[in-house]
Amino acid sequence: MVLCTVLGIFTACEDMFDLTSSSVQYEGSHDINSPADSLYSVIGVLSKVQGIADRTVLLGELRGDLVDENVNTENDLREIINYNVSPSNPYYNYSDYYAVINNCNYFLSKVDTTVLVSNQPVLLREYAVVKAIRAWTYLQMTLVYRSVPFITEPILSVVDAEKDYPYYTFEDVCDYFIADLLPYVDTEYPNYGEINKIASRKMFFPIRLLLGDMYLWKEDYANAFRYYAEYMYNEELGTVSNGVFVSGFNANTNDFAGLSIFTSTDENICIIPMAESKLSGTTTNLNNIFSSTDVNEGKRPISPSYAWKELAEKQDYAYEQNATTIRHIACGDARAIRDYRLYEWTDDSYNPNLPDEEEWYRINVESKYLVNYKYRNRYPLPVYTIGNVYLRMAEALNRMGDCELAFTILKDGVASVRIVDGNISFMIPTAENTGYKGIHARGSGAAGKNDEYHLPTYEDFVPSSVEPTQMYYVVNDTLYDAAQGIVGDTIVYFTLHHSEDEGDYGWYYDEEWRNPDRKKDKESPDTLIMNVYPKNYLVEKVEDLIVDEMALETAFEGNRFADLMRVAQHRNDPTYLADKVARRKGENHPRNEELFVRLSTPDNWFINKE
Amino acid sequence: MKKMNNHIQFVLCCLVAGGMSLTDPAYAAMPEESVQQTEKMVTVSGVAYDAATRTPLAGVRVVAHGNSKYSVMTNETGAYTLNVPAFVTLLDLTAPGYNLVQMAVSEKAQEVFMHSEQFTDDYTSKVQVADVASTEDFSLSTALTIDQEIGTRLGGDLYSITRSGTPAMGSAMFIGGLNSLNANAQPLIILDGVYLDQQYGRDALHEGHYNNVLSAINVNDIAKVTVLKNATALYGTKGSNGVIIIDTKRSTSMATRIEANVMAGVELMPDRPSMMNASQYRMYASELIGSTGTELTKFKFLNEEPDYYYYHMYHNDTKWDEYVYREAITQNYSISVQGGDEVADYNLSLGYTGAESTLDFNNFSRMNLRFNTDIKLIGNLSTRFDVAYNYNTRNLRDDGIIEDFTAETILSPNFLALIKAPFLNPYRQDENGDVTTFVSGADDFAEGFGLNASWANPVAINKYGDAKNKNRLEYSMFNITIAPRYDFNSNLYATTLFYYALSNNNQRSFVPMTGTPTFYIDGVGSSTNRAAAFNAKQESLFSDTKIDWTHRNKAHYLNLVGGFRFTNDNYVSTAQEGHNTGNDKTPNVSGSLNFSDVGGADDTWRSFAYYANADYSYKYKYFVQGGLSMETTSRFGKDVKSGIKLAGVHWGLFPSLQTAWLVSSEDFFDREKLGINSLKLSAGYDASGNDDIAISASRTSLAANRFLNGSVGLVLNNIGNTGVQWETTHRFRVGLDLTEYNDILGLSLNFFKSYTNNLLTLKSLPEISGEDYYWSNDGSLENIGIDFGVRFKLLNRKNWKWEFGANATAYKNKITALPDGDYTTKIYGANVLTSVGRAAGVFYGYETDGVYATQQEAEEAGLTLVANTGEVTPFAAGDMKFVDHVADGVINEKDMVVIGDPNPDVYGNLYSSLSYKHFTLDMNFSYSYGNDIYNYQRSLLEGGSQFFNQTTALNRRWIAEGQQTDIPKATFGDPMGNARFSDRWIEDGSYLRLRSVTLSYELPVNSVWLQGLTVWATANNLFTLTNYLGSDPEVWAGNSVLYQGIDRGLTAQGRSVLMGIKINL
Repeated sequence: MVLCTVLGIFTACEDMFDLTSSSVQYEGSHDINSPADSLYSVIGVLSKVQGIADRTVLLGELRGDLVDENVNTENDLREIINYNVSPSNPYYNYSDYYAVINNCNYFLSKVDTTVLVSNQPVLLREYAVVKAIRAWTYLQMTLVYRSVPFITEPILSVVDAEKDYPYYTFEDVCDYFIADLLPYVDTEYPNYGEINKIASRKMFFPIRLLLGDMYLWKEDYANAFRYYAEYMYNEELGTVSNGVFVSGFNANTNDFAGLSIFTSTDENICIIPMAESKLSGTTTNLNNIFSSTDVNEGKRPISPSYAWKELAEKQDYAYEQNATTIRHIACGDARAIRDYRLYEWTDDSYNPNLPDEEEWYRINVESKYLVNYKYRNRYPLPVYTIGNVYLRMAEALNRMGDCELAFTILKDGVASVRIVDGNISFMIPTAENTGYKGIHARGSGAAGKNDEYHLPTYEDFVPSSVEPTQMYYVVNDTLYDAAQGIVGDTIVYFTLHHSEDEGDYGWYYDEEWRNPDRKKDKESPDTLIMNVYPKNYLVEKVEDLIVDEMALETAFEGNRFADLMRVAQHRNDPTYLADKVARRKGENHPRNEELFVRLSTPDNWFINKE
Repeated sequence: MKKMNNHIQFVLCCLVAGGMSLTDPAYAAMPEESVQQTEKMVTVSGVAYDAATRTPLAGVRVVAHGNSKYSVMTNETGAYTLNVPAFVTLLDLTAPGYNLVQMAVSEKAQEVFMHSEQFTDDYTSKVQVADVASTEDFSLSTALTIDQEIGTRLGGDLYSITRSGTPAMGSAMFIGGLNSLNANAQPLIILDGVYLDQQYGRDALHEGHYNNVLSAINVNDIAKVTVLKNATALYGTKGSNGVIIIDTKRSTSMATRIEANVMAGVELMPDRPSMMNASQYRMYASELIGSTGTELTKFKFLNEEPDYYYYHMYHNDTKWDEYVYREAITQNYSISVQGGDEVADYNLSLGYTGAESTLDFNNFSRMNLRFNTDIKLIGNLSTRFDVAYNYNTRNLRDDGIIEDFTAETILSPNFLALIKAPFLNPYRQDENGDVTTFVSGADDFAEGFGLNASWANPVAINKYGDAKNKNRLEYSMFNITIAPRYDFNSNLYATTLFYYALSNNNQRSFVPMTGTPTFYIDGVGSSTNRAAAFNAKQESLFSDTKIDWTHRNKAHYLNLVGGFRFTNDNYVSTAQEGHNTGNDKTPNVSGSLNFSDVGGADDTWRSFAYYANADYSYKYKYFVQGGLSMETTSRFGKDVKSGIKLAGVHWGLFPSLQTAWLVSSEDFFDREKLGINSLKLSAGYDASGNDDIAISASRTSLAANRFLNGSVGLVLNNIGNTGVQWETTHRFRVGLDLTEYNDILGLSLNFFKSYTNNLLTLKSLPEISGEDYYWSNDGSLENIGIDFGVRFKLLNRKNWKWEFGANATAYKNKITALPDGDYTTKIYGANVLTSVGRAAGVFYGYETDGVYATQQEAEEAGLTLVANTGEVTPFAAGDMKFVDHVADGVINEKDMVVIGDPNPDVYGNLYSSLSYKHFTLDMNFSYSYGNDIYNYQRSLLEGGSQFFNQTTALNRRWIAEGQQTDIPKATFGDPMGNARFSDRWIEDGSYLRLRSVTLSYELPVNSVWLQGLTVWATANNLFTLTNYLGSDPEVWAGNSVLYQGIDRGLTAQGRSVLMGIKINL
């Protein structure tokens, strides 16, 4: 009997210790070959994306010019702001990114994309979703660390983890993932319905937008524009309520109907949804960093920079009451002011009762990051909003040479791409198209969506009822309906002068409007100083406007460093970024020359771990 | 490969089978009879005396040790003469009522003094080769759990720390220093031959509580406890921390015997710190408010006008502790019946224990049943068949202080009773100041100073938390053992043991709304109350099969044991909690509650071991004990480098070799001249393992990760280390045991040195893995020590007997290697340093040098604090003087030094047993010397930074320029870190405690139906000599090594007086 027992036990030894558990699943016995398995795994990946949400925003903003340190800033954050992150800093560690990447790699290596349900390759959809998440994560990481170990197979053992992997730079990563994602550009994403009242599709990174971004980085503007535009077309990307960027202005009452930009989630194309409580997932701590809360005892460690405040302050609102009269209704950018009425500017009186400056902006940042404010109970951090897609598309268009069109997008917004009569056309959204004509594809014959591709030019946007030479808009970088121009420091009057020679467009630039006194005595310009500028000047000028609009529209959402870096690349001028960042303390402070010099070398933009 | 494995299996099986079929071929050729005829015989003679009266003793049986056929009885003059073969070197002398005496054979006539069995045994029936201590007879014990009693009796053989004054919480025990850092370092406990998993790291719902598995055993059911301090190789991967073997009572004769024990007594309230009274606290609180810089001036509690509406509410002088502590009644009843016949022997015992805690609402009760039988089946086949069941219940409340005040509000009544403002009243008052029966709500006077500056009313927690479905624990354990045994002959038997146990642990916890504050949990939300439930089930299977062969041949004695052992355990738990139940009448947890949370475990682990042991002695003078075990467990990785690979799995190999030499049996040893009766030298080496590896450390696994409310996803949660394996402890020992002056003095001395390598440590994973750590075997530590025991028979007269004994162990623990270098661990505000060259668990913090009396003094010192925002603040008058070890003018972490070591320099116990006729007075002291304690409780009660009531020491706080004092100024929030982890809170934890005094009287009865009646009274913890400022120098914060020496303010042990009767029928 004993002999048998001994024999029996020996034969069984190997299997005997292959134990299972209901609380964990062991890797060797885990398959992803049904929609249920893949759903469970994709949500797992998304839960890891939550882990890099805060740091994406922080590393994106703190290295930009829109925020600054204050007396409550702790060293970890201060080091990011000053571009000297030390190895002991938690942000030096990129493990959280690899938590996403490793789970993506695991999924991609395990999922069986050949599984068909109702003759549909259902798991291929998730495959594409996860590929996109992985691409986005690598992009974010290389924006911070410049060059990182590039791994596309899962690390499942300590031995794997200790191996050496090649380092990929930002450019390598773009190259790799453009090729990696292109085959899946038309793969339909799955739809899990709503998760915690948020449409699950909003949690997936759109491949076209990622391609748009990567092409933009690679300065392949036509492709960048193409993928942004295709995305807008496919998704019938609309604008929110009354405007693209600042919504809710009622010209009849001179009221803003609430700053819905700060409260609406509808503008979010793609988000990282954060949990409401630590018990239900990963929560965001950004509210305690950007806002004064009970938890930080009113001592938020990060403030908006003076550079941002000054930029916001210079924005004036106006609307065109009739063809020749512009009426100011407020001063300063509404997005920096929670209660605009305090700052309302009317014909006769100006309410100077500005509260303490810090308080003024404190309210604003809170409204963006105080979770209960902006996102109600949903707590998402935006990755793509309609705003930044439009602006990046404008950036691409502008660099393609279509600066007027870019400007028009900036000014008016372009919503969706439609097919009219079988041709691709860009449409002004219904809400905004009064007075505009539609755009039809040029060229002869029927144009297919993919082959004969047409980009509109400025003239496509000229209202048909107005003679081009007489037409002007009062605009600035905050965009309004056609009737609601905005006057700002960088005010540019355009006449859409149509010259015979293509590319010779006139810019009428009114230096007089830089005069701060304008608020009191200039309701409408009497004279225009007309100048004609060369095209490259226009490109940079419009780009400046775009960058400023990005600052106002997408402030504190984590885009700023990338925006500045991209423009610096476009201009082949690292000092562009260095100058902006070194001047973040505003006009009343000298430029931080030490930082400027350091940042004039792009290598210093990154946390160097190699 | 598979084929090869089969081949190996076959060979192994043959080996094992061959071993079992051994029928002493070597010795078969030499029948014992023929040996005897040719053997040279010697004659030994002597006289046996009663050591007390020095009169000759008749009827003493004198036997050749190990050869019972050579024996004789002493005659009326106490004399004996015995012919024994020349190879006999040791005689055993026994007589009823007397202890065994072992004496070396001598040609000269011997005088032997027999000592009453009231004295401690000087000899063991089998000469001990390893370092073993044992104790038996617990009928007069007042301990509720055996670990507590082990601490009292064998406190010199192991380091025992009573976990708290809560009944049956037991003790943490460490043998021979600390043999692990991160894995379990407490001994393996074997109950009736079966491993008893202690569930050390398992969850409990209530703070400060640990479900002591040993509380399932009634101490009265235990016959014997043996502590193995070395030679634990046979226990394979579970033996490295020493072994405690607990044997329950079995019938030893066919006579029916009934023993009944009744015990009842009272425990007095434990010592508590002396807290400020209402007026002192009012001053302190207003000073704190002043330090906040608030511009508010009106505070209700500062309004001194008697007709003010809120005057009565804030003008009491409440001693809060009197509302939560009480004197506690303990009672224990047990009865056991044992007996038997030709077919079966049995011992049936039944018991009930009811123990209140001095901290109200923490009662413990236990019902236990144990039925142990030995059944003769057919022929040589017999079996052991045991069944036991116990059912424990407890009322529970949180005990002691939590680690993180931002995670939950303070709920432990004993800590609340210390910190509550004394000017408040637990009950509401009407406008005349008359106290009503309505309990007061949570504090409101400090609201606004901090996010959660409101504390619960402990009376409300007790009152509204009291119900069977609110704060309660039920623990039951059922086990059954069957162990058939076949005796081939008197020297050879085989036995196999099967054991199954099922334990269930159900806990409920409920925080009432009434009287507790709404608490904002960071990152979660506002909680008005909380309900939680926990359920755990553990199923254990254990099997042990062995063959035991003994052979004696002239001078040779050989015992061979070989066998194999299998364990299988499954632990499944679920825990759920939810907040905001809406009222105090529905304490049930459901998914619809706010912030609901679920968790749990499903752990299965298995192990399989082969073991063999050989005991050999020559002439009972030279002893060699060799053991070897090989064990594999499910916790090992698949690519382990050490040990051997067999049958597809990795096995750890654990050898042991112990030797002893009974020098006193040598001819050259002149015992008379030296006055030494026996002298034994021993030396040994053994290796044993520790497989307390995280269940899935070796395997890459995925687990559910929360994503959004209610949805979860599957993610990688562990990168497995396929090389993870056991820790190995190598232990060397040399020892000496001697008795002198006719066994009046007994002495033992052991030196030991142990090395533990392959320490299980968390090692950083490369960042690219996305995970932080993995379990790895890196690092090593060592323990060097000495243990010493002495016992004196101070008085031995006919009616008076007095024995005194002392034990001491000293060890030095040292970490010798770490994989990732030194690191600190934050535990209850302490920095515990793990550093090469130092002991495990040392405290690492700031050194202080008094308080700056004047601003000038502070300025001259010129020290500053630099916040992590970069803000620089100079230390000022009234702040602590921290020592700037790295003299850079800034007090920061670079200035931290080792400020304490929780490891004792020496620990042990002292005992005295004095008897006069039928009266016996036993005293047991225990002591620890040189261990440091981090007094976490005092750091909060003397921190001077929060609205917690403070001890009266704070009356000495710095308040005015020039004041010389040792307590810094009170400042809200402590911006200068005066209360930081520093040597202010490190205290000498040395103590000498009179653990128990027992006076018993054995009635001289001898009737047919009443065979014995003993009445007794015991006082526990009568006094403790210590400089420690906390309530109890025995402090426990957790079972793991790094948690030692931290006082988290658990209920202290009080003095208790108990009386009992033992009846033998």
